[in-house]
Amino acid sequence: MYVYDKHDQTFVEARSQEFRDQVKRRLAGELSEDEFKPMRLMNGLYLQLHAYMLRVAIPYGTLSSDQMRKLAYLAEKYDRGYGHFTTRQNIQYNWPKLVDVPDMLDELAKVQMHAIQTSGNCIRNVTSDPFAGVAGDEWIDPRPTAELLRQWSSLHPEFAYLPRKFKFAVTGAAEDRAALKFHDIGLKVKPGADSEPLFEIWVGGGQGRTPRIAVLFEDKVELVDLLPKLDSMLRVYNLHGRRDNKYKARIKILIAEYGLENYRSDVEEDLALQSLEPFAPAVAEYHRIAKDFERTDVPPRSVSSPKQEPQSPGLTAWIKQNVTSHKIAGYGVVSISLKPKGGIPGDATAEQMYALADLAERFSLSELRITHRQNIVLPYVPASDLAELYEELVVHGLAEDNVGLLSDIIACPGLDYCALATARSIPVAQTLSTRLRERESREDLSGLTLNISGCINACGHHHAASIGILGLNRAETENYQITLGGSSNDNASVGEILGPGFSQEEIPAAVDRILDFYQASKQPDENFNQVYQRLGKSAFKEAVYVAA
Amino acid sequence: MWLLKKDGNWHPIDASELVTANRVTPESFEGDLEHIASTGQVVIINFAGPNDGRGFSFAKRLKRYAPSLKLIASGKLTPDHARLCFQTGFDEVLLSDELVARQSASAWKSALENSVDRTYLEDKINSNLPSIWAERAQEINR
Repeated sequence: MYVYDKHDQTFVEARSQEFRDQVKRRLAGELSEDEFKPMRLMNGLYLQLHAYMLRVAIPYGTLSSDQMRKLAYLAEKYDRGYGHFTTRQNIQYNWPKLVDVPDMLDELAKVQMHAIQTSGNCIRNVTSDPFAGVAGDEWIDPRPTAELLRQWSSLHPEFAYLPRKFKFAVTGAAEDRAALKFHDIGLKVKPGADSEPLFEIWVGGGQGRTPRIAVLFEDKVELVDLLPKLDSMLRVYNLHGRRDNKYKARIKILIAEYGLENYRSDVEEDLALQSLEPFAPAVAEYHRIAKDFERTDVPPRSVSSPKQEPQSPGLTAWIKQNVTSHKIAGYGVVSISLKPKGGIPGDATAEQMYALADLAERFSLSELRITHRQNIVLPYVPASDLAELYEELVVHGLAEDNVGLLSDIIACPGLDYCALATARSIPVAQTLSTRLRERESREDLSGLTLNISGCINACGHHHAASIGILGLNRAETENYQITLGGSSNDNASVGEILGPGFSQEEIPAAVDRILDFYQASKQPDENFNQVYQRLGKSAFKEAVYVAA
Repeated sequence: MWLLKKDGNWHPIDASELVTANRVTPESFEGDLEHIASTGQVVIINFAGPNDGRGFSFAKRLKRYAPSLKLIASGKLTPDHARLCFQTGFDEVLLSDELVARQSASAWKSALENSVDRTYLEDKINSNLPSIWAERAQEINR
């Protein structure tokens, strides 16, 4: 893992001090709420329906046991005993008091964490592959790049007031586990000559009310050229992105309206004016950072396990569903579901977070990951410890064996918390997860995804799911629109709206009809999106609406 | 009117002192740099609103193109914009009497004193401190 040096530490402490001063001026009435708003947002502090909400960054989803313990402590001391892990690998606290937030930031700084740029119209927390460094299909660990971007973008003076928020994702493996093509800029890292990284730059992806799949801006970009290029890409966006309509202010709209070739030409023109001197240390920085991610403390494990105790059906199912092969023989990558039957997706109690910290210490070299599907990963679990780990997870209510199944639902907080939401997401997710877990006990529902957003901003990634549910407000009544055929993997696609929306009560039956039709129609080895593409929207529409 | 300097000091200024300055607005950002740079040694860049950051990028480009230009930020700024102004190439910040009256001198002073004065990648044009990356590089080479 990356470990802060004195400069990083001074930086986060200084930022915490700066925010303390801003809060003090706000509480003294020297700053109006309008003036304070962009400052608090740039530090991850929202004003939600009931209270302030603090979003804490978990850069590229990697954290240590000590850091997880600190998150648990914050939930216990400043919240109501729980936190919510988000689709961008962050954690949100829904009940902090404004006056306490500077103290929370000081606590975070003690364990090399912060809330810098987890909101606001700036470069947000950089996301990455939760299996980075341990996945068998990985070409190169994406996290050194993500950390380099974190440092470059943190309090970047030019990009604090962009037209809209700006999201980066970085991957370095064959499988896209970070929804790269739904980001403003996605970087795919591959090894070049002498194993130096080479980058594909994808630009213009995003969700919201105008979902777009990113397009290739340039491939084979060398490390030395990466940051100057990104700097110019952001500068052109800052100067030319629309500011007259917040719904048309993302870079995806600039690319669509201005054209990729014009944008590329402006970036090249800007690059010609750039001084490369400030970027000169970047290559050495990358290699300095990369050393921190090379784990040299992974003890070798025997591949052939000794005589095995008989496994319980629960353990067998959990290993099948939640454990992925590791690039190092004798180890497994364990995904811990935060989607218990009838539970709130992504929520964990302080007690569970303390337990996860302890379990990571015992079983996973004190390292954890957060996934964009709102689950937790223990990346270094010896195969011989799986049974013991499972028993511990059962005790803490963390042993749901549904990772990668349909009940592994993504959901935003929706109208229960969010000031922007138009409908509730959580109760829909809870009802569906109960119903789907029952179906999953009888039939194979792997390879499908179900995501729920409580408004058109699409924080629940409904566009990118096999089955997407979007909560809207129609004539002061919650109404849920269904989209089908979306995907966030390498062949990313945007789901299509199936037809008129449903009430909250009608949604479970509508999902059942979709699944019934899929199961009846699928051919061997065909997944949901393949069936959808083969049969088309009209066939599903008929099954859902006519059958009703 | 007042002029805020990089060192946090400020002094009153008569508007007539800036009468020859070239004033540019977000719309003129589309214009070519050569034209703007050729019309005077002082350029006042107006910020249309506290959330409009185009002025930062424009200052950066303009300073690169013509390093000898004196750049002054003006418009709807808050004390917390000062750091960003000085880090992106502005030499001074022009504050209206109304702005100074509403946001006290102590607020501007406090914001500058408490702002993060060093980032990872700083432009040396306006910084007296090396960037974090530059300092790390120096430490490695020592």
